[in-house]
Amino acid sequence: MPKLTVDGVEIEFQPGEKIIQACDRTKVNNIPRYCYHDGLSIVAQCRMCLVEVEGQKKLVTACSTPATDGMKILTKSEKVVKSVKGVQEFLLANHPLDCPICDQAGECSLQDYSYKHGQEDARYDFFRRTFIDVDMGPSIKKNMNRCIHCTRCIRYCDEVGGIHEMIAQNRGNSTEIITVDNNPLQTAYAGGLADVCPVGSLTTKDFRFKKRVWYLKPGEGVCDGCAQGCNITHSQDTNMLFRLEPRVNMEVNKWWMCDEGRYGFHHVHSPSRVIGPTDLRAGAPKGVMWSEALPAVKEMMSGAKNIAFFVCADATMEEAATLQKAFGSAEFFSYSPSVMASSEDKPLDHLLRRKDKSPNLKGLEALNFKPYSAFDPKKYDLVFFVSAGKVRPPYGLAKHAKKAIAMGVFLKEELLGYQFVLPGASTYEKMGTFVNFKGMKQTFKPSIPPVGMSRTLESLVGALLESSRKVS
Amino acid sequence: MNSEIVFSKYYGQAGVEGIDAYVKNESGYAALPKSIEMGKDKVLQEVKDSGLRGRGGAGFPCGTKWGFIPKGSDKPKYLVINADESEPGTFKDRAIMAFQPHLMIEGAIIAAMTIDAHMIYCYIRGEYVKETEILEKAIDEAYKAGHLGKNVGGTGYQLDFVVHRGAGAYICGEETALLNSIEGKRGEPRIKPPFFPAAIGLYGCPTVVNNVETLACVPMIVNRGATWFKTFGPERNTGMKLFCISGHVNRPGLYEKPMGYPLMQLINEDCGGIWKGHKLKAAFPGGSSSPVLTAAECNVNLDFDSLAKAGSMLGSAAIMIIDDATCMLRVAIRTAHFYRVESCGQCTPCREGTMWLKDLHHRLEAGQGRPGDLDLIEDICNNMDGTTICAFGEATAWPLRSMVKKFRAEYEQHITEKRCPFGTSAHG
Amino acid sequence: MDKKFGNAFYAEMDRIQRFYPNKRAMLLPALHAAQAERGWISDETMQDIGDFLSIPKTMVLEVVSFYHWFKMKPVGKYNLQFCNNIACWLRGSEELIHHAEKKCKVKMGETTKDGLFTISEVECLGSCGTAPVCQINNDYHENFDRKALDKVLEEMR
Repeated sequence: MPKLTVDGVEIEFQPGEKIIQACDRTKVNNIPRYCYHDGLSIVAQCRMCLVEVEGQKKLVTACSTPATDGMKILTKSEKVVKSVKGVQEFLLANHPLDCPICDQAGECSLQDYSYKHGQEDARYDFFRRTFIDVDMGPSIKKNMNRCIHCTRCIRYCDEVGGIHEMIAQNRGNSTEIITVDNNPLQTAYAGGLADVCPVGSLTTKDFRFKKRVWYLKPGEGVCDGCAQGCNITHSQDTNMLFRLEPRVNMEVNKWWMCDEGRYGFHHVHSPSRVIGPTDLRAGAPKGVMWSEALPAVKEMMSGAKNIAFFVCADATMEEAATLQKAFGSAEFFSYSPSVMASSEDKPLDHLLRRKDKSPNLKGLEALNFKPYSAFDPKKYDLVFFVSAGKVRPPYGLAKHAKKAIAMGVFLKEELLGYQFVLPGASTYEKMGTFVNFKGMKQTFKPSIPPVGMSRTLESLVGALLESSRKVS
Repeated sequence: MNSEIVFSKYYGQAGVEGIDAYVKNESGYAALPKSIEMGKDKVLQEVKDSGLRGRGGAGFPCGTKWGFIPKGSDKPKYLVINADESEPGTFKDRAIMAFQPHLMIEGAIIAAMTIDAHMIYCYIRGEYVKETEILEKAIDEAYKAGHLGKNVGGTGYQLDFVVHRGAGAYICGEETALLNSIEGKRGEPRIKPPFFPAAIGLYGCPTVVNNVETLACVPMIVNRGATWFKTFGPERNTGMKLFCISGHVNRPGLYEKPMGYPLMQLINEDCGGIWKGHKLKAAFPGGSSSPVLTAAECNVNLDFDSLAKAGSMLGSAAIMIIDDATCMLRVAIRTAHFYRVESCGQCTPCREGTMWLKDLHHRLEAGQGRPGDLDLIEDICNNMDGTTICAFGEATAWPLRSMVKKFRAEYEQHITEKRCPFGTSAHG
Repeated sequence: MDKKFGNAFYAEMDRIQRFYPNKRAMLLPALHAAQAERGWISDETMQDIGDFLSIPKTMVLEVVSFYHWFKMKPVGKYNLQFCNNIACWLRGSEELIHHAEKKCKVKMGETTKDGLFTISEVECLGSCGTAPVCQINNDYHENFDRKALDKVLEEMR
């Protein structure tokens, strides 16, 4: 394996790697960078990653210079430190002092590198160039004054979004990054622009002004929006879920996720969500205690000869197994809103989105859950409709069963046909495993405890079995 | 010092640009069949031996550049003529294209055949409308005479030539920005590595970009030999050269001299000295991108190596002369303004530095300069020098830094007196 | 497709098409031909060019706004483009521009109310030996002094 030296430390690198990639992978040095991103093409524009190579008079950019065997690199020499300070100062020249009102504060490369590599005094004292912001649509908020012209957004739209919709207009210090004709961004991956933008020039409207990022506690999750199973980071504070972002997984989603998945968690804290056991037998919904609901449900179960579980395919493998183990005599069906079986699934675009809008259909099929096409509600005395809140059972389907119980995450406006709602945990309130369209098992961690009086399915089933013992 | 007029004999005359005049007056299109007979390898060697260095500004050995084209590659090769000529002070390529277009065309054909290119693009700046028309006519004539087209010189070699007009961007004179411009994109320079034109050039294919004047030297090198070419100019700085002189001389214009000609002789003898009886104060020897020379430093020979040794550069041989009734700060403002307008904006030091420098210079001139401004100008220049994607960073830093250093007292006067010491009419 | 431009435009495009391997590379020639016909590059023109070359309007706009020869606002019948770079400035271009502004009663960058004259400042035109130089539309006016300027303004009214 070829080797090179960074500040005296010898590291191995893979042939074809650039200096910055070799350093990143071996974590020997954190070379500062703005325009370089592992998932985008290399442009070497920001000039922040300049390093000194022994034997070369001019500094080189670590992001674009291939590593060669025997190379000796200095990242902290006087020349490098001065150059990086200079670049940092140039970037701050026209950058507004927006930190107190900028969402990016706390996860801003400009802040971090100013602190580590910048100089203490600000020598620029002219008026900064300003722009009137272009409205880029519902996903992304653009603040052009803050832009540091790294062009990650332009490359992202070309290379990830697949649409040439973000462009540079004019040139030099007058360069403006815009979409044209006040068009909103067309790409289904617009939210990722906020991920790649190193500063607060592109942020998501969904998260805007909601929470300072240093209060957020991140966790490892998996998106429940479709059969891709993009790895995500969920972030919460005070047991409120605030945002989802992609988490790197080179086998699944690389660095990206779609907007539908990114913003698809608002049912968790929706005021419409049913978060307490609800008795609907008399018609109007009546909130009851678990101690009342569970025995009533158990009674319904003992009086039912044929029971079915209509399990939306956002249930986890663990939940499905728990149900099968506890209620082995019942029939189990899996449901995805957009395909009858995982064999019908296919990609919706060039990148990540899939036709199957459920995260675990393949998993449920592997547990021999029957397809939706085989489900006839009239056959059963009692049907449990199970949902984690992402996959919605068809509205009104519950009416066709003699008796129906909603188990999991449901909204007030979709309770037609249910006798009881037993509130459960969404994907973000439990640990669990999904099997994606490739057959990959991915386990995720919870972000927050179950909301309100909701219970995890394991706890609910356990309590049901127990209350039956109590009753008898 | 050996000298011979090989370019400008017919400049300024009417009707000399046609193919008939070229053939009659200048042994036109004699070099082409000779080069075909010599073969690619011998032509390449002759150009290498001649010591011909690029006349666009960088002075890179032409033969060496041609030699970078990989022989084994199955990608099409391209020859691109850089006729963007936008370096302030430069107007030589314009004369070649207006009066000797066929000399350039013949040189380009020979170059193309040497590197196995079947397509020549001439990137001419958009403002040269008249020259474009002349060039288009000349190209038609060349096609009709069989020097271009499906059967160059009867050898069956296919070679096409098209003029591609630029549109008002100095940065497109940078070879990789020029290639992007041909491809229909913004004229932004490419990073090297990996986009060395000889490897990944126009449309991703091996490409040679040569200046107009460089190619204009090729037919004479083929016709009369490298040894003859080397009789002009000092070692490693060979050939006859077109020098552009402008500014405060009595007879500005284009002067053809051998490389290494003394600057003071050019100013005092050929150009009739400084105008209005004023004295020499400063000179740009190589366009606005070159470090300025004080009057004392003008005792220098005009070639690549001599000027580099003197701390400046020959560049495009665009000499601008400044008299002692001129405020250097005002000259610097014009310079700073130019680089602010022409910066492509890609990389941080240039995009921000050019704007900052312009603002600082204006503030000084407006009588609002602060004591730290001069050191700041120098420091900004230092932070732009060697940190940018292309040489535009140096092109901005070198002249501005040289002016603030060499004329510091004058700049300081602006600060202490809060006005221009030359008064309102701040130049000669 | 509807013909949005005149015959000269399409003739030029036909002539050069074989020299370019893709449509995008024809963008600058197409813009030159469009500006020659329409005088400037409007929003509509950008859309027309994009349609003609089958490239998105974004690709046209990013190029048009980069290159200063392409006018994104209409200009007067005579666009007086004064060079004010070093060599011309050394030979009096600044005074010449002030004189032009006074005579035309407009400031740099503006067009006279009758739509006749626009005064623009451009960078080095490559005619420094005959400075000051003014490019009026496509023509270079060299050794352009006050007298020559007055004469031109007179003749072009």
